[in-house]
Amino acid sequence: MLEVKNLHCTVEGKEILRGINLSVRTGEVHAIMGPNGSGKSTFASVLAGNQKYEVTEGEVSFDGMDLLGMSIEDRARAGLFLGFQYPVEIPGVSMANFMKLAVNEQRKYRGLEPLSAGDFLRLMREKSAIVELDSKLTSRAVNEGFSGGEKKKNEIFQMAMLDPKLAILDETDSGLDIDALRIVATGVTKLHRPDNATVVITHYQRLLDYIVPDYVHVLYKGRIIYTGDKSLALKLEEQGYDWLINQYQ
Amino acid sequence: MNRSLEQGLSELYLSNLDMIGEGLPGRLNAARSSFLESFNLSPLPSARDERYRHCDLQKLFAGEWEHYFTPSPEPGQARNRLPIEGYWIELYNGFCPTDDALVVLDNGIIYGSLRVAMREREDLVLKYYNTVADNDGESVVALNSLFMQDGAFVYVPEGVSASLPFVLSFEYGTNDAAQMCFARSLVVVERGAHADVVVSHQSTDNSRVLVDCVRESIVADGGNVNLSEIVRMNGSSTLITGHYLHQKESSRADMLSVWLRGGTTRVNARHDLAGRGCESNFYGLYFGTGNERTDICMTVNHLQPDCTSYESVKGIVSGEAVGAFTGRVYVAPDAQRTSAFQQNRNLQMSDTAKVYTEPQLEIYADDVKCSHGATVGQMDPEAIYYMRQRGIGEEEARRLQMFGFVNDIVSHCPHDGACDFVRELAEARINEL
Repeated sequence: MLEVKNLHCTVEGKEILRGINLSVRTGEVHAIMGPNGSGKSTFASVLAGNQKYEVTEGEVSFDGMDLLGMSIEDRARAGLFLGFQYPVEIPGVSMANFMKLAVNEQRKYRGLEPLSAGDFLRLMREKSAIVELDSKLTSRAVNEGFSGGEKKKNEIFQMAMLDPKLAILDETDSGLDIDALRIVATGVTKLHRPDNATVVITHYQRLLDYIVPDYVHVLYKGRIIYTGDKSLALKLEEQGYDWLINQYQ
Repeated sequence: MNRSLEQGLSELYLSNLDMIGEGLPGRLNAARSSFLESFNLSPLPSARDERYRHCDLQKLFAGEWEHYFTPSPEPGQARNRLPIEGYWIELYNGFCPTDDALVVLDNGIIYGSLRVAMREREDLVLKYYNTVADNDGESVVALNSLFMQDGAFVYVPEGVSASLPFVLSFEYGTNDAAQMCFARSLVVVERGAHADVVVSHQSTDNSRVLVDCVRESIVADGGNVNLSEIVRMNGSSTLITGHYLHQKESSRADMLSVWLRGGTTRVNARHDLAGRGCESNFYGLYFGTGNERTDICMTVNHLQPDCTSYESVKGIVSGEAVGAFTGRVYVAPDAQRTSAFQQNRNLQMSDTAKVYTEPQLEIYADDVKCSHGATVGQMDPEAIYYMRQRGIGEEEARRLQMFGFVNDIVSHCPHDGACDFVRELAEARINEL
């Protein structure tokens, strides 16, 4: 589904990603871990199309399409979802309006009719239950006045609404208390199916207790330096990254 | 030396004073000499005047302007009228076109032509007329009072709640020469009465008009007024408006003004909270594109204790448009327990658009809760990115952000019947930006 080959990118002339190779197949869950500043969030942003980053080398194919040649919105419409580390507030725009527009844009891209008001409300209700999102929040402005936990739940709610082929979750566990972490992680697990794929970026093994990865990658200085199975996360939790970094150097 | 603008206008008045005063009460006409005097004493302000830095009236009044002293015929072309059911008062270039345009309802409500009202209800009208407009401080107000021949009049008697909104529809157009118009309105809401008033200022064609408009609104003890205003003038027009609102004890006013378009728009608004326990809420929204210029000067005077005021004015400017906001909240020495809030927020869509904002507080009482703020910002690229990541196209995301910006203003539309229309107008305007 996702093939990343030798991906390099720079921001303000500084090279952040230095040759990433990654292959994600349908039905898989990948975890990307790594020390601060290793380029994890940058990698997620580049895949989403954030224009702050300049891709200098490499290629990415998504579902057979040249991802890097697509606009941000077309990547999203084609089924790529990014769960933001810091979800953005959009004052004055209600969650319901925002989601209705987003869902219908995606449907249009896929050649489907827009949802009727009734079907849309039903979908909102059904999906907000997945992350136990207070229905009052969906009538408020996007992320405005949401707590840290609500913002992250809201990301997973949007993921549920948009039903992406590939979800990249950028530190969705950061800033969550134990209960919220469980709710968010269980939500992600519920949304996982054999016909989609998930990439979770995280610092903590705890999240992976819920979202069990098929592969764990360690990103360091803009490259994936090690790939293992779920036991790698446990080992990293115990021993840190030094042993891997030393081995790499 | 060239004849000054003021001399020219004074001569225009003096040589037509018979026509101007025809059919109007003698004591009203007698008072005009004092307006002539105050107009002559305070010349039209130029940009050198601090208050008119962003709106040079000397330049705006310069040049040749036609002025007609008789009602204009109704414009023939189709017009985009407000889809509001109500008690309509239609004015063309400041005049009600027919002479029988005064309606008296069974419950005592009176509405229609100010001219006819002055003739038929002289004592009632003159009890309120020119009691709150600032004829001494603003030369454009004195000029309006000097030339006033007609206008709109609304009177809601004690304890009466008007079941429909009053729609004051001011339309301007000449199809030929540049024309100067004077528009006037007087709204009186008596003790414990309630009125909804929707005011529209609209160009009917592309001709140049210079409109000098004055509105006096008086809300007596316990009265309640919802006052909306929608401005849709053409790009070569100049609209100078003075809005004077006088509130008595325990009265309430909820206001919304949307300045959608217009060449130059200048607003002098003064809200006097002149009785205990008044509440006044004002929401304003302006748009500027091309070379449009919007200059809003608002003063809220807290003259008595226990009053609450809230003002929020937002603007979106693009192209080379100019937006200016000068807000002043004055709290008199005795006006204890005042609660006042004032804010002006602007979205600057282009580097060439300019915004000037100046919120001011002037407080002479010690037990008050007052705050104010102003911002000028650009679109938030993070929010655009976020929306695009959800599949919303870039243009749509920009529009959505602008809708979000204006949403809290239009959602405070005080008339149920007009809210959707106001929202549609704002959305249509955003789509042009």
